Formats: sequence, structure tokens, C-alpha cells
Amino acid sequence: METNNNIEKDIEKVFDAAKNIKQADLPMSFAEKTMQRINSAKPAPAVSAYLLLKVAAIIILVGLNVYTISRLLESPVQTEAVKVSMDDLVKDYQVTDVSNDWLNNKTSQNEQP
Amino acid sequence: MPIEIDIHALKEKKEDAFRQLVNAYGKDIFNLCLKIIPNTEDAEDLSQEVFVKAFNSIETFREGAHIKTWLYRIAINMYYDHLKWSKRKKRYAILQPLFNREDEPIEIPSNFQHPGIVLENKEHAKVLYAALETLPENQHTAFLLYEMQGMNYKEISETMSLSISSVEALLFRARASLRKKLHKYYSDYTSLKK
Repeated sequence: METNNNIEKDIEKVFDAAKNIKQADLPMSFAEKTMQRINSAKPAPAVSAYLLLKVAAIIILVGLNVYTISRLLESPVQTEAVKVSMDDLVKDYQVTDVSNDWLNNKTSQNEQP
Repeated sequence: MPIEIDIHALKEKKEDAFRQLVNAYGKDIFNLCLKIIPNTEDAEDLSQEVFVKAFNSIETFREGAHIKTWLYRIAINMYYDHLKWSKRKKRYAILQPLFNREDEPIEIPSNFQHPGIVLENKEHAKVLYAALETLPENQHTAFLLYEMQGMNYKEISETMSLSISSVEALLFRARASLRKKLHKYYSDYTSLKK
């Protein structure tokens, strides 16, 4: 009987212990440590600012190249067709006789023994 | 007096808002964690993880709900996960589900170190924590939140997403089960002393 009473007292003390737990103070620098863990848990950004800068620079360079090439194709260099006729040649070199007799004559003279 | 927390800033994951949240509820969460795990280091670790989890899942927080209740729920769910993980680690884990948790004997924890328990209550508190470990999870939580954390039925029902009558029933069963276990524990203890 006495044992049972003691057991009941112990059980009540256990229930009382549940109600008498005091608030504990936060450990030192709890907030700092928590913020560090939060920061380290942050997912890394898929595209970093540096990568964005590189992509932008490449786009600008390619764009400039395309623009330059397209401007060149729009205004092609004027290449005059060279049409040289015999008459133009005569005119340019001020040849009076267009015939080639003198040449033939010369040849014929050379052929003579 | 309720603490004003900028939920929009939290949802935008602003560091200052989270710092404010940690400063406002850090002590509450740490003390709840100490009631779940009676060891300062483990409780600190768990409470920090609660805030990390809150940071990662803040978009799921429903506006209008109480942030403290939401943090409590995270803490309890994380403890359940930890419990499942540590039980899986034990040998013969495959056989664990075959036995009812309520039949487990009370085992006094070796790493008991709770700064909120005065020396004269320490031995009884150790027995309490050990007995609580053997209760089913929902009974354990209901008892912990009501008897140890001092929350009312409404707050517990919000935290556990249960009706108030379910919380009452859980508390009733938890107390009855604890009383039975403690009776057996102290009977064995007394007979051993003789």
C-alpha cells in the first residue's frame, strides 16, 4: 500500500516536472549562426552577374560585326568593267594608222633572202 | 503583444526580414526544441534548421495564418523526420513497424542536458522525457504543446492541423498512457531496489 502511494507520488512529480520547465536563454550568437546557415542555404543564382556581362559583351560584338558586314554588302565598291576595244587603244596611244601593214611589210622584208 | 513581421519582405527572402523573424521567435523555437530534444546543442541545431526550412519554404506560408504556429509546425515535423531517420539507423529497423510504439520500455536518455530544469526536478524530468519518447507521435506532440509549452487547445489544433476535440482526445490518451507506463517503470524500479 505504502509502495503504491510512493509510486503515485513519483508519477505526480513527473507530471509536475513537465509544467515546471523554465524558459532557457538563447545560446550565444544564436541569431548570427542562424543567419549564416540561412545564407549558406540560399540557392546559387542560375545566371551570375559576371556571366550576364560576358554574354552582353559577346552580343554587342557580334551585333557590331553583323552591322558592319551588312553595310559593306549594301554599298559594293564600283568596279568599272574594263572594255578595251582596239579603237580605244588606238585613241589612247594616238596611233594614226590602224592597219598593220608596216608589221606585215617588215615581216615580208625579213623573209627576203 | 504580437510581434509585427513583414510577411511580404519574408516572401521576397529579404535578409533583414529573416533576421527580424529570428530575433522575434528564436527564443520560443529554441525552447520548444529543448522540450522536444532535451540537449542544448541538439536543440540549437534543430531550431536553426527550423529557420532555414522556413526560409526555403516561406512561399508556402498562407497569409493570415500565424507565423509562430507555422514555425512550431515546422519544428515538430522536422523532429518527426529526425525520429524516423534515427530509428531507421537502428539495427533491425525493418522489424520496427511490427511493434507498437506504446509497448516500448522507458529508457533514460544519457545525454540529458536541459538548462530550464532545476536540479531537484532533474530525475523526474529525465523519466518524463524518456516516457514521452515511447508515446505515439501525435500524443507526444499534444502533451508537449499543452503541458510543457503551455499552449491552449485552439493553438494546438492550429499547429497540429486537427480539430479541438481531437486534441482533447489525444491529450486524454497521452496522460493515461503516460500514467500506465510510469506506474510500470516505478514498480520495476522499486522492486529492483528491494
